[in-house]
Amino acid sequence: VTSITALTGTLVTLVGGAVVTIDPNDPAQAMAVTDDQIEQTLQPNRGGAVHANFIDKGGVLWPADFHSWAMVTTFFNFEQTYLYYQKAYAGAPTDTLKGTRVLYWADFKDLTTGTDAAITDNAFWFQPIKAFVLVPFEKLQEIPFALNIGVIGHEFGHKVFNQKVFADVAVPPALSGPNQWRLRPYNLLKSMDEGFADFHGYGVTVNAPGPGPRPNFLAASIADKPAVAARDMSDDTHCMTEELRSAFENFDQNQFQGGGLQYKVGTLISTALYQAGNKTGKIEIIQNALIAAYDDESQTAGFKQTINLRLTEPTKFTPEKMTDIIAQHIGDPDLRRQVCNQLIDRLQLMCDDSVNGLPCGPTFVGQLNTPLEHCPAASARGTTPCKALPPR
Amino acid sequence: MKSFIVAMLLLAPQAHAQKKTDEGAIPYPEEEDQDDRNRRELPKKSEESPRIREETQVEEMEREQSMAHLDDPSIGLSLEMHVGVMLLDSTRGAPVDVQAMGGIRFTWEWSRTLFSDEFLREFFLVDVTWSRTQNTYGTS
Repeated sequence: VTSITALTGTLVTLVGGAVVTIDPNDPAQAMAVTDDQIEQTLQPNRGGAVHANFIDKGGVLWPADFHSWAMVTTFFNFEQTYLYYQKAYAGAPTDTLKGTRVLYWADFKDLTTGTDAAITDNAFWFQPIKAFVLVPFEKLQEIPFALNIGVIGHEFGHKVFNQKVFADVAVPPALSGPNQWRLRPYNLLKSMDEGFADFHGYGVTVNAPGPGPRPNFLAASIADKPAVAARDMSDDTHCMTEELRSAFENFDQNQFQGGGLQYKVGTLISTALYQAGNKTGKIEIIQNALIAAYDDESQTAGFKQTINLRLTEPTKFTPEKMTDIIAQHIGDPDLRRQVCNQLIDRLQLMCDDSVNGLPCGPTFVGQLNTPLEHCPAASARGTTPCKALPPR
Repeated sequence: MKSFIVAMLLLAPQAHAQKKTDEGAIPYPEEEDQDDRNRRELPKKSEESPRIREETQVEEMEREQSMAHLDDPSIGLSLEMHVGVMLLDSTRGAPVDVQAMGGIRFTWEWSRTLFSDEFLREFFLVDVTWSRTQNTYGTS
């Protein structure tokens, strides 16, 4: 931290009074091409410095008002989150994660939703302007999202995902534009982004001082118990259903995201990774492997390389391919098997079934010709409470 | 003696004629000039100019005694309620945080009770004001 009152630092800088408006009728936004143009048209008012107030009591600075408390806690959450990602990067440089703006109490309007009311009670990473947006706390009466370290860890996960997988462009080509992916490949990208972010969010709660490990970190912020339970990765019963599988494969992005289904499929992914890590006590290896799998220029290509390679043939980017890339980046064979088993069951991957008859690993040891070629030969369906769904 | 009477008789018409000119008709006001009128209305004898009597010592003491407490007998106690908006310095970086406020104010001009001098009576006061606003947001 470089200024305790303005809450600026090398990692993040809090910005007050910022206004972001997504306006489909704004010709400047429609014409914006470069990342700078996109950012400037979305955010004409970039906001200014915040002013935290403190009371010096026995040499300890206590935040003096509500916003000061909230902003200091937010700043702390980002610092702790960064410490987690430093570990998860396993020695790889993390300087690119620094220097991010956090728009505190921002006025964020999305006119495409048909309302010009500013949204409230949320915290999110907004890739088009490459900033965290923390909107006013209003209706939710539990811990505001910005003060929930798991949520900040989750949102930071989106920044990491976008930076590594999509080269930090404002609008990734797989998600928008002429090469935009559709149906399952698109839905998978969104679900991965959410699931991985939840998994890292949990990792941040483990790493940070405070309330400790929280695989259901949303519970601190949301009183709606079923909504929280639906994202709780410690719940071993999260399984793909026929309805969800159908939506995952056939819904376009508006239907899929409109129903928040990227969180449902994302929870299947985060639950799989969490359960595998918990069973083996090697969750940190999964965290490292996941980060490594985001962007890997070597022969064991990462998500970024695979997505770019399949940009015009997205149907080849499957849940099996995703699983295979993760498995490829886990050195420990037992852990790799556990991760494969979890994902095979929860995402209903194509292996060991009556339709394609392929094993959930290489056809035989040393031969790599199945969708899950990097899962160990011992990988199998049926190690979790998730029952095999009937074939489509 | 005889000649004297004749002389008197000779003089008489003259005197009569003389008187006649003095007692001519009083001119109408518009024909009369200002000086004539003033002169005619002057009193025969000016009144004596009034002389102010010397003030007695008692009178002087009474005059110098302050009557301010009688003019304005208030003891200077007041209780007020106020409502309004407070423009708070914004922690979150907005130009200002506009918040509704309310409060009460008690004032006592205590010098009215202690002093009789008009200036001092209105000089000192005690003002106790309590105003309240809130800058908590969201979670209530």
